[in-house]
Amino acid sequence: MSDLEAMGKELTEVEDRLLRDDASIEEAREVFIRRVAVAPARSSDNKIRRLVPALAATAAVVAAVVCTVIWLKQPHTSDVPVGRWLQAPPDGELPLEFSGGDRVIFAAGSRCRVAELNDDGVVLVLENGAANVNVRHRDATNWRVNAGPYEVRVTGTRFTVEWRPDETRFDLNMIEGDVLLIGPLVPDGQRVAANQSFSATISKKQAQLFLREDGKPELPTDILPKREAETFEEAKAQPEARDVERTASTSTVTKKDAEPEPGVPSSAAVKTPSWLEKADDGKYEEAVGMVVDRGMARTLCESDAAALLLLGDAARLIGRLEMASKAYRKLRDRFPGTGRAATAAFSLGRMAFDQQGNCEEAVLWLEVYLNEPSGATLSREALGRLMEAQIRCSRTEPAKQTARRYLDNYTNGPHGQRARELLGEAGQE
Amino acid sequence: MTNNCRRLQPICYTSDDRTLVDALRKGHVDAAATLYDRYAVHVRKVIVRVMGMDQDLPDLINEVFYQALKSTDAIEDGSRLQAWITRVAIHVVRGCIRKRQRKKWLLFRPEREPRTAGPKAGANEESLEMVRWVRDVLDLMPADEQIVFALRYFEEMKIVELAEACGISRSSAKRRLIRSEKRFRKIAEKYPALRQRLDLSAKWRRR
Repeated sequence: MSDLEAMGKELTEVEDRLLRDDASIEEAREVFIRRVAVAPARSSDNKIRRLVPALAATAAVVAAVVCTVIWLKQPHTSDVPVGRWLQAPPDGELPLEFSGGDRVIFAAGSRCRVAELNDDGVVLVLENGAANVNVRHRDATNWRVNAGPYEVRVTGTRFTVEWRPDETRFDLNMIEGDVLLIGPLVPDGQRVAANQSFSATISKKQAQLFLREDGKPELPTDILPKREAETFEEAKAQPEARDVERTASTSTVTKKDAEPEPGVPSSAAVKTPSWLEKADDGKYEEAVGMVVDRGMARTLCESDAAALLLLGDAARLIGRLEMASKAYRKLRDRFPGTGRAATAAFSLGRMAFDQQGNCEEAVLWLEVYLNEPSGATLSREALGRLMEAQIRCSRTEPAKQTARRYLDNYTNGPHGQRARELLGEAGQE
Repeated sequence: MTNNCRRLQPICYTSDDRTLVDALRKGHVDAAATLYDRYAVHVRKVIVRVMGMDQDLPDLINEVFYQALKSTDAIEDGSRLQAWITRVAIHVVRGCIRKRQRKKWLLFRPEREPRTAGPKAGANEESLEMVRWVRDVLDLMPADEQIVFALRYFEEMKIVELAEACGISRSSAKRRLIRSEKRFRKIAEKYPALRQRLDLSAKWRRR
């Protein structure tokens, strides 16, 4: 061994000892994941950046405009970025095709996002507008469409779904197969089968499930493929027939109000501020604006549990995530141990995972929800999301434990296949 | 209508590096995190070997992975991902050293501050002192020579690996290594503590 090699060996021994207490990997990981989530680093981005200095600013702007126009006009086969918001053009559809033959067509002007893309399914978020969904049947799949506050769990089916946040109106028209719908007014889930339609207006607290006799959906035709659109044009030409369909309802779900939390004063017992009326009417933007004008701190201190949950939901639905977080946290501070406090924990976890991409925080809140005695209603969903969040955070061992817990309680749940895969891989290793 | 559709292709990357590279190229949602978790320790080791326990270590690790993610199209052989990310790490480290040297020259002040060792590190004071002197000597060397020297004597890379990591030919790597050894010994002569340890014999003085 030469003198330099001996010196190198001694140096590396010292520095390796120093590395034992070093936390730079954990520090850097957090920053890196956040950096990638905010601005995904792709090779194509790099190439574009290299070209930019060579172009004059004006030329770059013109080129960008031209490229955008061409991009909108031409067929595309590139990947859709997971997590980014997409908007269908005002005068055209936005079709997405997934491997395995699954297909979703968003109506003109619809705003949507592919929140997750896994081997066994996709999570789509429909923020505004309508979509025609065609998912091929498989034994195990984790296909979900989140439309506003509703979640449509899909196993293999064709349906159209529409969410209008300004009217708080949700419509689901089944064409083939069936889905499980979870959301306001149907918190325990509602199975919607072929030829059935579900319609809800949250601000009026009304929901209806009815049978369409001829099985034809009546959503706007511009979201449907050409061949089917013609069929619906024919259907639209027979308004009387549609009226008959409406009267052929098999069941009606109507809830006047949510049940009051034990030990918590109901919203009717206290003076109802005007922002609550706006929120009740589904005018979330106005409601949140009035809360800001009135004073957020004051509202947080004076409102009861139901109002705080409503404020959190309203702020979350319009994307005011900071405000939503404050409302949920205040609810948990002021009304600990209640069902609504547990729901707030779930909402915080869901918001962190779906809207903020913060899997660490999602894990935290979902665990809080699952550990609370009053948090049983959404435990299946919370366990599934917790497992996903743990996988996303690369916490393999806790994810496996959650998967085991999920399978013990919900063997055939929507996350069952994912959980089995996770545990199966562990078995192979 | 199919031609007018965008295709999303979920892929599994949990098995080998080749699949991970595919996932990276397709922008799979978890691929970046997997790449990080798989190679963060290796990247940190490479950086520390060249630059020592640097105060900017987290930033450098972060930058290596970000640069790696931006240049996934340049990966020729997915099964040799470690060699490729080593090369990216060396590229980032070289840029950092050069930037600091420019700053040092312009501002007339030392830029580099070592991360605190702390008594619990388990190293004796003499060894720590030696590490500081060696790092000081390396700081006075050009970036390219500093890198080859560190990779050869601290990371114990062979010439072939060294050449690949630096993106140069084997003969260039050899020449650069010889040059760096000579320079290291020459500068080290000014440090009594190092002079005692190194065999600064007449053989080297003659050269």
